[in-house]
Amino acid sequence: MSTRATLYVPGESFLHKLNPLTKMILIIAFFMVVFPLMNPFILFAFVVLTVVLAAAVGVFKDFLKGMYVLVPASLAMVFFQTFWPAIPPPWKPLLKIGPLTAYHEGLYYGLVFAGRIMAMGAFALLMVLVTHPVDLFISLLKIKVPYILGFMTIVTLQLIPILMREFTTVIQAQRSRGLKARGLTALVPSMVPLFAASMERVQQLAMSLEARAFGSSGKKTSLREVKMSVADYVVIPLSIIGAVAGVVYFYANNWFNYLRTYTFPTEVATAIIALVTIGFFGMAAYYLAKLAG
Amino acid sequence: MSSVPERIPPTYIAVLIPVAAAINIVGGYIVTALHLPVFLDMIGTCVVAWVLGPWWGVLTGVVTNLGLALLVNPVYLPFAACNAIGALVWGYGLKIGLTKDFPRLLFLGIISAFVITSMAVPIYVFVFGGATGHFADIMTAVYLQMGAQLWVAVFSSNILSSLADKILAVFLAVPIVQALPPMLRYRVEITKQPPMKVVMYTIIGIVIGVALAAGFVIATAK
Repeated sequence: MSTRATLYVPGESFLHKLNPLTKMILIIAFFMVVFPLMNPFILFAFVVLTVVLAAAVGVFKDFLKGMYVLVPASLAMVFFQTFWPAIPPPWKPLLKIGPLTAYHEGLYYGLVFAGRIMAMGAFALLMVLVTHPVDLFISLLKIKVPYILGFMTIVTLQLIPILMREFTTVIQAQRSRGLKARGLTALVPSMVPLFAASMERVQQLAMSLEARAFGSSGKKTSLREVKMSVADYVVIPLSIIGAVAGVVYFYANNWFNYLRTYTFPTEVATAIIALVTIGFFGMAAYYLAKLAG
Repeated sequence: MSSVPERIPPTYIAVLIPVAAAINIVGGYIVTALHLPVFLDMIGTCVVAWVLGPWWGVLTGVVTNLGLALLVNPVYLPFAACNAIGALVWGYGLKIGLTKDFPRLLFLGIISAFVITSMAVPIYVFVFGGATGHFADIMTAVYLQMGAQLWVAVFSSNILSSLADKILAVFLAVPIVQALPPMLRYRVEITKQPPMKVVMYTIIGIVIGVALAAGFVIATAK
Protein backbone atom coordinates (compact mmCIF):
# COMPACT_ATOMS: atom_id res chain seq x y z
CA MET A 1 0.00 0.00 0.00
CA SER A 2 1.35 3.38 -0.87
CA THR A 3 1.66 6.05 1.77
CA ARG A 4 0.56 8.79 -0.64
CA ALA A 5 -2.80 10.35 0.17
CA THR A 6 -4.60 9.25 -3.02
CA LEU A 7 -4.04 7.90 -6.51
CA TYR A 8 -4.33 11.39 -7.99
CA VAL A 9 -1.40 12.45 -10.16
CA PRO A 10 -1.18 16.21 -10.75
CA GLY A 11 -1.00 17.26 -14.38
CA GLU A 12 -2.16 19.67 -17.04
CA SER A 13 -3.56 17.30 -19.67
CA PHE A 14 -6.99 17.68 -21.28
CA LEU A 15 -8.32 14.85 -19.08
CA HIS A 16 -7.10 16.61 -15.95
CA LYS A 17 -8.94 19.76 -16.97
CA LEU A 18 -12.33 18.11 -17.53
CA ASN A 19 -15.00 18.62 -14.90
CA PRO A 20 -15.33 15.58 -12.57
CA LEU A 21 -19.00 15.27 -13.49
CA THR A 22 -18.02 15.05 -17.17
CA LYS A 23 -15.60 12.27 -16.27
CA MET A 24 -18.38 10.47 -14.45
CA ILE A 25 -20.59 10.67 -17.52
CA LEU A 26 -17.66 9.34 -19.55
CA ILE A 27 -17.28 6.37 -17.18
CA ILE A 28 -21.00 5.56 -17.32
CA ALA A 29 -20.97 5.80 -21.14
CA PHE A 30 -17.91 3.54 -21.31
CA PHE A 31 -19.45 0.95 -18.96
CA MET A 32 -22.72 0.87 -20.92
CA VAL A 33 -20.84 -0.10 -24.04
CA VAL A 34 -18.29 -2.45 -22.46
CA PHE A 35 -20.32 -4.42 -19.93
CA PRO A 36 -22.51 -6.44 -22.34
CA LEU A 37 -19.70 -6.97 -24.89
CA MET A 38 -18.99 -10.64 -25.51
CA ASN A 39 -15.79 -10.37 -27.49
CA PRO A 40 -12.37 -10.62 -25.82
CA PHE A 41 -10.57 -9.02 -28.79
CA ILE A 42 -12.64 -5.84 -28.65
CA LEU A 43 -12.45 -5.80 -24.85
CA PHE A 44 -8.66 -6.09 -24.80
CA ALA A 45 -8.50 -3.47 -27.55
CA PHE A 46 -10.31 -1.15 -25.12
CA VAL A 47 -7.73 -2.03 -22.45
CA VAL A 48 -4.87 -1.17 -24.84
CA LEU A 49 -6.63 2.05 -25.81
CA THR A 50 -6.91 3.04 -22.15
CA VAL A 51 -3.24 2.25 -21.55
CA VAL A 52 -2.29 4.46 -24.50
CA LEU A 53 -4.54 7.21 -23.16
CA ALA A 54 -2.91 6.88 -19.73
CA ALA A 55 0.52 7.23 -21.29
CA ALA A 56 -0.66 10.23 -23.32
CA VAL A 57 -1.84 12.13 -20.24
CA GLY A 58 1.33 11.29 -18.33
CA VAL A 59 0.08 8.91 -15.63
CA PHE A 60 1.46 5.67 -17.12
CA LYS A 61 3.56 4.53 -14.13
CA ASP A 62 0.85 5.03 -11.53
CA PHE A 63 -1.68 3.50 -13.91
CA LEU A 64 0.32 0.26 -14.11
CA LYS A 65 0.68 0.22 -10.32
CA GLY A 66 -3.11 0.51 -9.96
CA MET A 67 -3.76 -2.22 -12.54
CA TYR A 68 -1.52 -4.59 -10.60
CA VAL A 69 -4.42 -5.27 -8.16
CA LEU A 70 -6.45 -6.78 -11.00
CA VAL A 71 -3.80 -9.28 -12.11
CA PRO A 72 -4.37 -12.16 -9.63
CA ALA A 73 -8.16 -11.95 -10.02
CA SER A 74 -7.88 -11.91 -13.83
CA LEU A 75 -5.61 -14.95 -13.84
CA ALA A 76 -7.99 -16.86 -11.56
CA MET A 77 -10.94 -15.78 -13.72
CA VAL A 78 -9.52 -17.23 -16.92
CA PHE A 79 -8.27 -20.33 -15.06
CA PHE A 80 -11.71 -21.15 -13.57
CA GLN A 81 -13.63 -20.62 -16.77
CA THR A 82 -11.18 -22.59 -18.91
CA PHE A 83 -11.34 -25.74 -16.82
CA TRP A 84 -14.89 -25.43 -15.45
CA PRO A 85 -16.91 -23.30 -17.89
CA ALA A 86 -19.91 -21.55 -16.36
CA ILE A 87 -21.92 -21.95 -19.57
CA PRO A 88 -24.11 -24.86 -20.65
CA PRO A 89 -22.34 -27.67 -22.60
CA PRO A 90 -21.41 -28.81 -25.27
CA TRP A 91 -17.75 -27.87 -24.70
CA LYS A 92 -14.91 -28.66 -27.08
CA PRO A 93 -11.92 -30.11 -25.18
CA LEU A 94 -8.66 -28.31 -25.92
CA LEU A 95 -6.04 -30.16 -23.92
CA LYS A 96 -5.61 -32.19 -20.77
CA ILE A 97 -3.35 -31.35 -17.82
CA GLY A 98 -3.45 -34.21 -15.30
CA PRO A 99 -7.01 -34.57 -14.04
CA LEU A 100 -8.06 -31.22 -15.55
CA THR A 101 -9.48 -30.69 -19.03
CA ALA A 102 -9.32 -27.29 -20.67
CA TYR A 103 -12.28 -26.32 -22.84
CA HIS A 104 -12.41 -24.04 -25.80
CA GLU A 105 -15.64 -22.25 -24.87
CA GLY A 106 -14.37 -21.85 -21.33
CA LEU A 107 -11.20 -20.14 -22.47
CA TYR A 108 -13.23 -17.76 -24.62
CA TYR A 109 -15.66 -16.99 -21.80
CA GLY A 110 -12.85 -16.54 -19.28
CA LEU A 111 -11.10 -14.06 -21.56
CA VAL A 112 -14.37 -12.16 -21.92
CA PHE A 113 -14.66 -11.88 -18.12
CA ALA A 114 -11.03 -10.89 -17.67
CA GLY A 115 -11.21 -8.41 -20.55
CA ARG A 116 -14.38 -6.87 -19.20
CA ILE A 117 -13.05 -6.27 -15.69
CA MET A 118 -9.68 -5.10 -17.04
CA ALA A 119 -11.31 -2.66 -19.47
CA MET A 120 -13.74 -1.26 -16.90
CA GLY A 121 -11.16 -1.23 -14.11
CA ALA A 122 -8.58 0.44 -16.35
CA PHE A 123 -10.92 3.18 -17.50
CA ALA A 124 -12.26 3.96 -14.04
CA LEU A 125 -8.71 3.92 -12.67
CA LEU A 126 -7.53 6.34 -15.32
CA MET A 127 -10.33 8.75 -14.43
CA VAL A 128 -9.46 8.54 -10.72
CA LEU A 129 -5.81 9.20 -11.54
CA VAL A 130 -6.62 12.47 -13.27
CA THR A 131 -9.25 13.78 -10.83
CA HIS A 132 -8.38 15.71 -7.69
CA PRO A 133 -10.52 14.13 -4.93
CA VAL A 134 -11.55 17.53 -3.56
CA ASP A 135 -12.76 18.58 -7.01
CA LEU A 136 -14.73 15.35 -7.23
CA PHE A 137 -16.61 16.02 -4.01
CA ILE A 138 -17.18 19.69 -4.81
CA SER A 139 -18.84 18.63 -8.06
CA LEU A 140 -20.83 15.93 -6.27
CA LEU A 141 -22.32 18.68 -4.09
CA LYS A 142 -23.89 20.10 -7.24
CA ILE A 143 -25.85 16.90 -7.79
CA LYS A 144 -27.02 16.97 -4.16
CA VAL A 145 -24.65 14.40 -2.70
CA PRO A 146 -24.40 15.33 1.01
CA TYR A 147 -21.38 17.42 1.94
CA ILE A 148 -20.54 15.12 4.84
CA LEU A 149 -19.79 12.13 2.58
CA GLY A 150 -17.06 13.96 0.72
CA PHE A 151 -15.70 15.48 3.91
CA MET A 152 -15.46 12.07 5.59
CA THR A 153 -13.81 10.41 2.62
CA ILE A 154 -11.16 13.12 2.38
CA VAL A 155 -10.45 12.93 6.12
CA THR A 156 -10.19 9.13 5.83
CA LEU A 157 -7.63 9.40 3.06
CA GLN A 158 -5.56 11.85 5.08
CA LEU A 159 -5.68 9.64 8.16
CA ILE A 160 -4.37 6.50 6.47
CA PRO A 161 -0.66 7.42 6.35
CA ILE A 162 -0.91 8.75 9.91
CA LEU A 163 -2.47 5.54 11.20
CA MET A 164 0.11 3.44 9.35
CA ARG A 165 2.88 5.35 11.10
CA GLU A 166 1.09 4.94 14.40
CA PHE A 167 0.75 1.19 13.82
CA THR A 168 4.49 0.90 13.20
CA THR A 169 5.16 2.75 16.46
CA VAL A 170 2.75 0.52 18.38
CA ILE A 171 4.17 -2.72 17.00
CA GLN A 172 7.76 -1.61 17.71
CA ALA A 173 6.83 -0.65 21.26
CA GLN A 174 5.18 -4.03 21.78
CA ARG A 175 8.16 -5.82 20.27
CA SER A 176 10.52 -4.07 22.65
CA ARG A 177 8.34 -5.51 25.44
CA GLY A 178 8.89 -9.01 24.06
CA LEU A 179 5.74 -9.46 21.93
CA LYS A 180 6.05 -11.90 19.06
CA ALA A 181 4.84 -9.61 16.30
CA ARG A 182 3.10 -12.13 14.08
CA GLY A 183 0.07 -14.36 14.14
CA LEU A 184 -3.38 -13.96 15.65
CA THR A 185 -2.19 -13.38 19.20
CA ALA A 186 -0.42 -10.19 18.10
CA LEU A 187 -3.70 -8.69 16.86
CA VAL A 188 -5.20 -7.52 20.14
CA PRO A 189 -1.97 -5.91 21.43
CA SER A 190 -1.58 -4.02 18.15
CA MET A 191 -5.17 -3.11 17.17
CA VAL A 192 -6.42 -1.94 20.56
CA PRO A 193 -3.62 0.62 21.19
CA LEU A 194 -4.00 1.79 17.59
CA PHE A 195 -7.69 2.47 18.11
CA ALA A 196 -7.10 4.02 21.53
CA ALA A 197 -4.42 6.32 20.15
CA SER A 198 -6.72 7.35 17.29
CA MET A 199 -9.35 8.36 19.83
CA GLU A 200 -7.11 11.15 21.05
CA ARG A 201 -6.80 12.30 17.48
CA VAL A 202 -10.61 12.19 17.15
CA GLN A 203 -10.92 14.46 20.15
CA GLN A 204 -8.43 17.00 18.79
CA LEU A 205 -9.96 16.96 15.32
CA ALA A 206 -13.49 17.31 16.70
CA MET A 207 -12.41 20.32 18.72
CA SER A 208 -10.75 22.02 15.78
CA LEU A 209 -13.87 21.40 13.66
CA GLU A 210 -16.02 22.86 16.42
CA ALA A 211 -13.78 25.93 16.49
CA ARG A 212 -14.32 26.36 12.75
CA ALA A 213 -18.13 26.19 13.04
CA PHE A 214 -18.39 22.85 11.25
CA GLY A 215 -22.06 22.29 12.05
CA SER A 216 -23.23 25.74 10.96
CA SER A 217 -25.96 25.83 8.34
CA GLY A 218 -24.49 28.63 6.22
CA LYS A 219 -23.26 28.14 2.68
CA LYS A 220 -19.94 26.31 2.54
CA THR A 221 -17.17 27.57 0.31
CA SER A 222 -14.06 25.76 -0.87
CA LEU A 223 -10.47 26.66 -1.57
CA ARG A 224 -10.63 24.92 -4.92
CA GLU A 225 -13.13 25.91 -7.57
CA VAL A 226 -14.58 23.64 -10.22
CA LYS A 227 -16.05 25.13 -13.37
CA MET A 228 -17.50 23.81 -16.59
CA SER A 229 -15.34 24.64 -19.60
CA VAL A 230 -15.93 24.54 -23.34
CA ALA A 231 -14.30 21.10 -23.45
CA ASP A 232 -16.93 19.80 -21.00
CA TYR A 233 -19.77 21.06 -23.19
CA VAL A 234 -18.19 19.22 -26.13
CA VAL A 235 -17.30 15.98 -24.31
CA ILE A 236 -20.66 15.42 -22.58
CA PRO A 237 -22.81 15.26 -25.75
CA LEU A 238 -20.05 13.36 -27.54
CA SER A 239 -19.89 10.67 -24.86
CA ILE A 240 -23.68 10.32 -24.81
CA ILE A 241 -23.79 10.02 -28.61
CA GLY A 242 -20.84 7.60 -28.50
CA ALA A 243 -22.52 5.42 -25.88
CA VAL A 244 -25.82 5.27 -27.79
CA ALA A 245 -24.09 4.58 -31.11
CA GLY A 246 -21.87 1.93 -29.50
CA VAL A 247 -24.77 0.17 -27.83
CA VAL A 248 -26.89 0.20 -31.01
CA TYR A 249 -24.00 -0.99 -33.20
CA PHE A 250 -22.83 -3.74 -30.85
CA TYR A 251 -26.39 -4.84 -30.12
CA ALA A 252 -27.15 -5.10 -33.85
CA ASN A 253 -24.12 -7.39 -34.14
CA ASN A 254 -25.18 -9.54 -31.17
CA TRP A 255 -22.41 -7.93 -29.07
CA PHE A 256 -19.86 -9.69 -31.32
CA ASN A 257 -20.48 -12.93 -29.51
CA TYR A 258 -18.28 -15.54 -31.22
CA LEU A 259 -18.55 -17.96 -28.29
CA ARG A 260 -19.28 -21.08 -30.35
CA THR A 261 -18.07 -19.94 -33.73
CA TYR A 262 -14.51 -18.75 -33.17
CA THR A 263 -11.68 -21.26 -32.76
CA PHE A 264 -8.42 -20.20 -31.12
CA PRO A 265 -5.27 -21.41 -32.90
CA THR A 266 -3.94 -24.29 -30.79
CA GLU A 267 -0.59 -22.62 -30.06
CA VAL A 268 -2.24 -19.41 -28.85
CA ALA A 269 -4.72 -21.31 -26.70
CA THR A 270 -1.97 -23.48 -25.22
CA ALA A 271 0.15 -20.44 -24.44
CA ILE A 272 -2.71 -18.64 -22.68
CA ILE A 273 -3.71 -21.74 -20.72
CA ALA A 274 -0.10 -22.38 -19.69
CA LEU A 275 0.20 -18.76 -18.55
CA VAL A 276 -2.97 -18.73 -16.44
CA THR A 277 -2.32 -22.20 -14.99
CA ILE A 278 1.20 -21.31 -13.93
CA GLY A 279 -0.08 -17.94 -12.68
CA PHE A 280 -2.87 -19.52 -10.67
CA PHE A 281 -0.73 -22.19 -9.05
CA GLY A 282 1.96 -19.61 -8.38
CA MET A 283 -0.63 -17.49 -6.61
CA ALA A 284 -1.89 -20.54 -4.69
CA ALA A 285 1.66 -21.41 -3.63
CA TYR A 286 2.21 -17.83 -2.50
CA TYR A 287 -0.89 -17.83 -0.31
CA LEU A 288 -0.18 -21.28 1.12
CA ALA A 289 3.37 -20.20 1.96
CA LYS A 290 1.98 -17.11 3.67
CA LEU A 291 -0.53 -19.24 5.58
CA ALA A 292 2.29 -21.48 6.80
CA GLY A 293 4.22 -18.35 7.84
CA MET B 1 -30.18 8.11 10.49
CA SER B 2 -30.70 6.17 13.67
CA SER B 3 -30.77 7.91 17.02
CA VAL B 4 -27.36 8.73 18.38
CA PRO B 5 -26.65 9.08 22.10
CA GLU B 6 -27.31 12.74 22.80
CA ARG B 7 -24.04 13.06 24.64
CA ILE B 8 -21.97 12.51 21.49
CA PRO B 9 -21.54 15.82 19.63
CA PRO B 10 -21.99 15.79 15.83
CA THR B 11 -18.43 16.95 15.19
CA TYR B 12 -17.22 13.92 17.13
CA ILE B 13 -19.21 11.64 14.83
CA ALA B 14 -17.93 13.47 11.76
CA VAL B 15 -14.40 12.52 12.82
CA LEU B 16 -15.01 9.13 14.42
CA ILE B 17 -16.36 7.68 11.17
CA PRO B 18 -13.30 8.64 9.08
CA VAL B 19 -11.03 7.17 11.77
CA ALA B 20 -13.00 3.90 11.69
CA ALA B 21 -12.91 3.87 7.88
CA ALA B 22 -9.17 4.51 7.91
CA ILE B 23 -8.71 1.64 10.37
CA ASN B 24 -10.71 -0.60 8.01
CA ILE B 25 -8.27 0.25 5.24
CA VAL B 26 -5.16 0.05 7.43
CA GLY B 27 -6.44 -3.34 8.69
CA GLY B 28 -5.52 -4.80 5.31
CA TYR B 29 -1.98 -3.53 5.82
CA ILE B 30 -1.80 -4.83 9.39
CA VAL B 31 -2.73 -8.41 8.49
CA THR B 32 0.03 -8.40 5.86
CA ALA B 33 2.51 -7.13 8.44
CA LEU B 34 1.45 -9.82 10.94
CA HIS B 35 1.37 -12.61 8.28
CA LEU B 36 -2.31 -13.43 8.74
CA PRO B 37 -4.53 -15.14 6.15
CA VAL B 38 -7.57 -12.89 6.82
CA PHE B 39 -8.73 -9.46 5.58
CA LEU B 40 -9.88 -7.62 8.74
CA ASP B 41 -11.24 -4.80 6.63
CA MET B 42 -14.46 -4.32 8.62
CA ILE B 43 -13.40 -3.88 12.25
CA GLY B 44 -13.97 -0.13 12.17
CA THR B 45 -17.42 -0.70 10.67
CA CYS B 46 -18.27 -3.12 13.47
CA VAL B 47 -17.09 -0.73 16.19
CA VAL B 48 -19.09 2.18 14.73
CA ALA B 49 -22.20 0.02 14.22
CA TRP B 50 -22.07 -0.88 17.90
CA VAL B 51 -21.15 2.49 19.34
CA LEU B 52 -23.15 4.88 17.13
CA GLY B 53 -25.77 2.61 15.57
CA PRO B 54 -26.24 0.46 12.46
CA TRP B 55 -26.82 3.26 9.94
CA TRP B 56 -23.70 5.14 10.97
CA GLY B 57 -21.93 1.81 10.40
CA VAL B 58 -23.36 1.75 6.88
CA LEU B 59 -21.92 5.22 6.30
CA THR B 60 -18.54 3.98 7.57
CA GLY B 61 -18.68 1.10 5.09
CA VAL B 62 -19.51 3.42 2.20
CA VAL B 63 -16.74 5.85 3.15
CA THR B 64 -14.26 2.94 3.44
CA ASN B 65 -14.96 1.73 -0.08
CA LEU B 66 -14.98 5.25 -1.51
CA GLY B 67 -11.56 5.70 0.07
CA LEU B 68 -10.32 2.39 -1.36
CA ALA B 69 -11.62 3.38 -4.79
CA LEU B 70 -9.62 6.60 -4.67
CA LEU B 71 -6.58 5.00 -3.06
CA VAL B 72 -6.15 1.58 -4.69
CA ASN B 73 -8.60 0.83 -7.50
CA PRO B 74 -12.21 1.75 -8.29
CA VAL B 75 -13.16 -1.95 -8.61
CA TYR B 76 -13.59 -1.91 -4.82
CA LEU B 77 -16.65 0.31 -5.08
CA PRO B 78 -19.29 -2.47 -5.49
CA PHE B 79 -18.10 -4.08 -2.25
CA ALA B 80 -19.47 -1.09 -0.31
CA ALA B 81 -22.68 -3.15 -0.31
CA CYS B 82 -20.98 -5.93 1.70
CA ASN B 83 -19.55 -3.51 4.22
CA ALA B 84 -22.94 -1.81 4.58
CA ILE B 85 -24.91 -5.01 5.12
CA GLY B 86 -22.34 -6.12 7.70
CA ALA B 87 -22.91 -2.88 9.62
CA LEU B 88 -26.67 -3.53 9.66
CA VAL B 89 -26.25 -7.09 10.95
CA TRP B 90 -23.84 -6.02 13.70
CA GLY B 91 -25.74 -2.87 14.67
CA TYR B 92 -29.12 -4.57 14.95
CA GLY B 93 -27.47 -7.66 16.47
CA LEU B 94 -26.37 -5.48 19.39
CA LYS B 95 -29.88 -4.06 19.72
CA ILE B 96 -31.45 -7.51 20.09
CA GLY B 97 -28.81 -8.54 22.61
CA LEU B 98 -26.56 -10.77 20.53
CA THR B 99 -23.41 -9.35 22.12
CA LYS B 100 -24.20 -10.22 25.73
CA ASP B 101 -22.17 -13.43 26.07
CA PHE B 102 -19.64 -15.56 24.21
CA PRO B 103 -22.05 -18.02 22.45
CA ARG B 104 -24.35 -15.23 21.27
CA LEU B 105 -21.44 -13.16 19.99
CA LEU B 106 -20.10 -16.20 18.16
CA PHE B 107 -23.56 -16.66 16.65
CA LEU B 108 -23.57 -13.00 15.54
CA GLY B 109 -20.17 -13.51 13.89
CA ILE B 110 -21.40 -16.59 12.01
CA ILE B 111 -24.64 -14.91 10.89
CA SER B 112 -22.76 -11.83 9.65
CA ALA B 113 -20.35 -14.05 7.69
CA PHE B 114 -23.26 -15.75 5.89
CA VAL B 115 -25.09 -12.49 5.15
CA ILE B 116 -21.97 -10.70 3.91
CA THR B 117 -20.92 -13.65 1.73
CA SER B 118 -24.42 -13.84 0.21
CA MET B 119 -23.94 -10.20 -0.78
CA ALA B 120 -20.42 -10.72 -2.11
CA VAL B 121 -20.97 -13.90 -4.18
CA PRO B 122 -23.23 -12.32 -6.84
CA ILE B 123 -20.61 -9.56 -7.28
CA TYR B 124 -17.83 -12.10 -7.61
CA VAL B 125 -19.77 -14.30 -10.05
CA PHE B 126 -21.26 -11.63 -12.32
CA VAL B 127 -18.42 -9.15 -12.35
CA PHE B 128 -15.34 -11.26 -11.68
CA GLY B 129 -16.41 -14.62 -13.16
CA GLY B 130 -16.07 -16.21 -9.72
CA ALA B 131 -12.51 -15.10 -9.02
CA THR B 132 -11.47 -13.05 -6.01
CA GLY B 133 -7.69 -12.91 -6.44
CA HIS B 134 -7.31 -14.21 -2.86
CA PHE B 135 -6.58 -17.56 -1.27
CA ALA B 136 -10.32 -18.37 -1.38
CA ASP B 137 -9.73 -19.11 -5.09
CA ILE B 138 -7.77 -22.24 -4.17
CA MET B 139 -10.80 -23.71 -2.41
CA THR B 140 -13.05 -22.59 -5.28
CA ALA B 141 -10.91 -24.68 -7.66
CA VAL B 142 -11.13 -27.68 -5.32
CA TYR B 143 -14.94 -27.48 -5.10
CA LEU B 144 -15.24 -26.95 -8.87
CA GLN B 145 -13.16 -30.06 -9.50
CA MET B 146 -15.52 -31.96 -7.17
CA GLY B 147 -18.32 -31.03 -9.57
CA ALA B 148 -19.95 -28.01 -7.93
CA GLN B 149 -21.70 -25.27 -9.91
CA LEU B 150 -19.66 -22.06 -10.13
CA TRP B 151 -21.77 -20.04 -7.70
CA VAL B 152 -21.94 -22.92 -5.21
CA ALA B 153 -18.15 -23.31 -5.34
CA VAL B 154 -17.61 -19.56 -4.95
CA PHE B 155 -20.01 -19.38 -2.01
CA SER B 156 -18.54 -22.44 -0.29
CA SER B 157 -14.98 -21.18 -0.57
CA ASN B 158 -15.72 -17.57 0.32
CA ILE B 159 -17.78 -18.49 3.35
CA LEU B 160 -14.66 -20.14 4.80
CA SER B 161 -12.49 -17.03 4.68
CA SER B 162 -15.50 -14.90 5.62
CA LEU B 163 -16.26 -17.00 8.72
CA ALA B 164 -12.69 -16.68 9.95
CA ASP B 165 -12.65 -13.01 9.12
CA LYS B 166 -15.98 -11.91 10.59
CA ILE B 167 -15.80 -13.97 13.79
CA LEU B 168 -12.35 -12.54 14.37
CA ALA B 169 -13.60 -9.02 13.58
CA VAL B 170 -16.43 -9.30 16.10
CA PHE B 171 -14.16 -10.56 18.87
CA LEU B 172 -11.52 -7.94 18.10
CA ALA B 173 -14.14 -5.20 18.20
CA VAL B 174 -14.93 -6.19 21.82
CA PRO B 175 -11.62 -5.06 23.41
CA ILE B 176 -11.56 -2.04 21.11
CA VAL B 177 -15.01 -0.89 22.28
CA GLN B 178 -13.93 -1.46 25.87
CA ALA B 179 -10.89 0.76 25.32
CA LEU B 180 -13.04 3.66 24.05
CA PRO B 181 -13.83 6.68 26.24
CA PRO B 182 -16.86 6.09 28.52
CA MET B 183 -18.86 8.73 26.63
CA LEU B 184 -18.90 6.42 23.62
CA ARG B 185 -19.29 3.00 25.18
CA TYR B 186 -21.69 3.55 28.08
CA ARG B 187 -24.71 2.32 26.10
CA VAL B 188 -23.02 -0.68 24.52
CA GLU B 189 -23.88 -3.86 26.38
CA ILE B 190 -21.09 -6.24 25.60
CA THR B 191 -19.50 -9.44 26.91
CA LYS B 192 -16.04 -9.61 28.47
CA GLN B 193 -13.22 -10.35 26.07
CA PRO B 194 -12.58 -14.13 25.92
CA PRO B 195 -8.93 -15.24 25.59
CA MET B 196 -7.77 -14.91 21.95
CA LYS B 197 -6.59 -18.54 21.97
CA VAL B 198 -10.15 -19.75 22.64
CA VAL B 199 -11.45 -17.58 19.79
CA MET B 200 -8.72 -18.90 17.51
CA TYR B 201 -9.46 -22.57 18.15
CA THR B 202 -13.21 -21.96 17.82
CA ILE B 203 -12.64 -20.30 14.43
CA ILE B 204 -10.35 -23.09 13.20
CA GLY B 205 -12.92 -25.68 14.30
CA ILE B 206 -15.83 -23.90 12.61
CA VAL B 207 -13.92 -23.29 9.36
CA ILE B 208 -12.74 -26.89 9.06
CA GLY B 209 -16.24 -28.13 9.94
CA VAL B 210 -17.92 -25.96 7.30
CA ALA B 211 -15.26 -26.84 4.69
CA LEU B 212 -15.85 -30.56 5.23
CA ALA B 213 -19.63 -30.14 5.31
CA ALA B 214 -19.60 -28.19 2.03
CA GLY B 215 -17.33 -30.80 0.45
CA PHE B 216 -19.61 -33.60 1.64
CA VAL B 217 -22.76 -31.91 0.33
CA ILE B 218 -21.13 -31.19 -3.04
CA ALA B 219 -19.79 -34.75 -3.35
CA THR B 220 -23.15 -36.38 -2.51
CA ALA B 221 -25.20 -33.98 -4.64
CA LYS B 222 -23.30 -34.90 -7.76
